[in-house]
Amino acid sequence: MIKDTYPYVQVRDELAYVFRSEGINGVIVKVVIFTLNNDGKWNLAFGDWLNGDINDRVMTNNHDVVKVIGTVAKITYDFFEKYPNAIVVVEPVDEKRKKLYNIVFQRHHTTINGNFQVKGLNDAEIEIYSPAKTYESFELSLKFN
Amino acid sequence: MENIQETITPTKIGIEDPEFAQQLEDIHDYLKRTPFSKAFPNKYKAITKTEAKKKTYELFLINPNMPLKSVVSTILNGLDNDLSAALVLDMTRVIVEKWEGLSTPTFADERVEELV
Repeated sequence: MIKDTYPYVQVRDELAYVFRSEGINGVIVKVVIFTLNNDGKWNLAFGDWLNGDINDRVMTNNHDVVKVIGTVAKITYDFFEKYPNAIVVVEPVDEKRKKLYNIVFQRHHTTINGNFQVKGLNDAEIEIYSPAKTYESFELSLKFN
Repeated sequence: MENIQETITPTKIGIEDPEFAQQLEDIHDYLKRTPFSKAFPNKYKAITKTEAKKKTYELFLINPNMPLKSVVSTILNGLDNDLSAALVLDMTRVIVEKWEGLSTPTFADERVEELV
């Protein structure tokens, strides 16, 4: 169960979500978007809404990373409700995020694995996710029981 | 799906705050007029890089003896037509490095063993 999250709204044909992070640096508007890749998989992207533009590399450091990640996770659940057959790709844009995402997948492996089939990619070679390894990116799809 | 239903709690917010309502409208307009490659340039680069690596790997499995020049042109042709000059250069480097990595004797031997 994801407990601590921000409320969010959907915009742009329900493929984009927006929420407000509230922390030591004030209120930061976050945009989460799902886009269809060339290979039919969905890409999850998110960034900060700053001065009329999206910044997908900024590290806000608003001291609420757990809540932000929890909100993105909840949004991902919401997306899968609408697109249960989707494959969602989680691709970090830099080394810091790669480390962060690997920590999140390792810590929450049991919970995530309960609902999703998770695969890890390294150097474009894909395998079933192992929490003992570090990956460059991840693929999620719903498990159908 | 039951587990997911339990995981989702009502989180959608109303838009009483006029400033936030305006931001939502701006974001909607921005996403409508801005291609993904411009809205999320770093994410776009990361995705394109992975795609280039994946296509290079797949091509290697089919034709490991293909000349490098043909490899680069084949993979680049399969990527977005709108790649910037910087990304074309980046992807060329990614393709060459991946192909050369795959062509090392260790990897090639492992592939032969798998096939045998």
